[in-house]
Amino acid sequence: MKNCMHKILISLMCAVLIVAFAAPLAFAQTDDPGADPTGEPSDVGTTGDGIGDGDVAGGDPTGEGGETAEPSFSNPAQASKAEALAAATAVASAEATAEAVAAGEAAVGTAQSAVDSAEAALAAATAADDEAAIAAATADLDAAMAGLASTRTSTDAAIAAVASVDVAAIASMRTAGLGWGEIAHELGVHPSTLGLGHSKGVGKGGKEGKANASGKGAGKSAKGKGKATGRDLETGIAQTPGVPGGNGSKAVGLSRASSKAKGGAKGSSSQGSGRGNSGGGSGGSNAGGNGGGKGNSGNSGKGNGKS
Amino acid sequence: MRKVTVLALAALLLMTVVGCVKVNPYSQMMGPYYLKQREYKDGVEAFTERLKGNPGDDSAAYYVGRFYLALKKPDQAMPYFEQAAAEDPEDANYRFWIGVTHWAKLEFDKERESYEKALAMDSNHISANLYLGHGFIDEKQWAQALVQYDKVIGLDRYNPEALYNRGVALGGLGRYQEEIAALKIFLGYYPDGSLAMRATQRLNLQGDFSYRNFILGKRNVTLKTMTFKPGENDLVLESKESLHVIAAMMSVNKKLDIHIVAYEDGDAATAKARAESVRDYILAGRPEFDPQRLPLSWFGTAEVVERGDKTFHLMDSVQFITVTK
Repeated sequence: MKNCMHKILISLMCAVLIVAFAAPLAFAQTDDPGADPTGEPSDVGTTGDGIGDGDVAGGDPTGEGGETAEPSFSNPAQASKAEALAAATAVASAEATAEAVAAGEAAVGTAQSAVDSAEAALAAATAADDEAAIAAATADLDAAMAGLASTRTSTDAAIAAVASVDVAAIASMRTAGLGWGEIAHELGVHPSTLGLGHSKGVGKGGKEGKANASGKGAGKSAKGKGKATGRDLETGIAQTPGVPGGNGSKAVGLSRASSKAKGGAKGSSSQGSGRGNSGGGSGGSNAGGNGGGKGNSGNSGKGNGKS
Repeated sequence: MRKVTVLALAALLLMTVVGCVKVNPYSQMMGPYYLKQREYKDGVEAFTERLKGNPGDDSAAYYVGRFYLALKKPDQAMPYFEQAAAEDPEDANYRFWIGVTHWAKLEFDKERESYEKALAMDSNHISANLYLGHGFIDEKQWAQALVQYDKVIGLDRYNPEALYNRGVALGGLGRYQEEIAALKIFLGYYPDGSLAMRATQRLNLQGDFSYRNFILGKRNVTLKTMTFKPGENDLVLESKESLHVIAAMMSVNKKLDIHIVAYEDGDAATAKARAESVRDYILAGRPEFDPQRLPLSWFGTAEVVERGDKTFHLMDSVQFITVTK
């Protein structure tokens, strides 16, 4: 009898242990988001081998024998904590990016001054027909140009790294007329745009009341006056959201992957800039707008011929 | 045919002589050139010189104004625009640019007045309608702004600033369902960049999560929410487009790993299948990716999302969270 009681006791203890081990897993896959708020996020999930199986949906890429992999996060609280951690990392990065952009712009200013000086020296030497001076000035100019190019490339690379976009794409955006600050802003790696659409405390710019409703580069003259909108002092035309250039890279954003994306307002220079994903049907939505000698009028035949 | 050509040329010559059409080939060629090349200082130099030779050349004065304004020198620009408008008082475009210059000088009442004058001459001037609307938005005059933006969209269907601000105006009027619809139209056409992030933020605050901003790596990225075919775990096309963005970013940045977290209230099995579906779609297009770069999680609960001061429960959703190392 004593033996029998002993066996029952051991069985009960085993059962308790099994339940204790099994409970968190069952908990994670069912409900109660408030469970285990102190759990740490896991970095690596064991999701099996799904490479190249081509089974877009409904397949079981979870490994041999159809074993179900465990979820990476054991409960929603862990996921939430991981999200906050990722956001905090991005905020720190955005502040560093803003500093890198400022430093890059200053360095380019210095390098451009060096190029200007070298050009002036070369012009003077050429005018004086002084061959030795021409050679020296040419060498100085080459060095200054190389310095300028190097500065540009390093800042392009810094933004590309944080934005997960090719360096060439960043360079093409700059060639299209955007400054690094604007590029960082539009790609969402700038402190002013990082917090948009997230919980409180993620970056800046979360308050809609201070939003610039006209996008990049606008609102410069009205800053500090509490105005929500901007004007384009160069074109007088609505600015196209996002970034130009990028060579059609989908890493730039959804406008490069979407079949519905459009190329901007009538007359905007961004039309046909590689937006959209349908091979030309969606990029230039308004060809022949107001840049062709019709002024800014929606009327046909009116306007004053000034673009 | 030859007769028609000769007649057309003769008519053009006659009209030019009587002043019905002002032809200024230099301005029409070189003005847009300097603007396009952004050679504003060179433009000022060239056109100022030209203006000296012909002080009554309204077109030359207009371009000098444009170049100065592009250089953010509204005080210098204004006299030239005013000169152009004095030479040709019926030109709506001159009035429009006077308005823009007033804005740059923070003279907002005069700005509005100028746009109204421009529109009296040409009611279909797109940018005058647009910027008049912007002025109304700045003053929270939502109904007037809405009228302007509707007019712009009628003239220029894909005008991004009109499409976005139409949503803002509708929100200001408390017409929230229409605001949601307007923002979704905008996001359909312009789904990335800072304005898309703002539109998504507004959308989410109204409880619509058809678009969401995710922190991918160190970047805020707008994506279309994962949607599945009814009763299935297969993604719809628009959701796949968002996955192309994620895959492209991961392809450029080999260190970028992303958690896929699926929620389905009361059905953990479906949540799991959907998390796998999302991961498998990415992997199918990028067989070189290690699946461990896309760890999965799934929960049989609603996702709880906080936006502003509100808390939302999303019955079924897929979340992307950057793996931090």
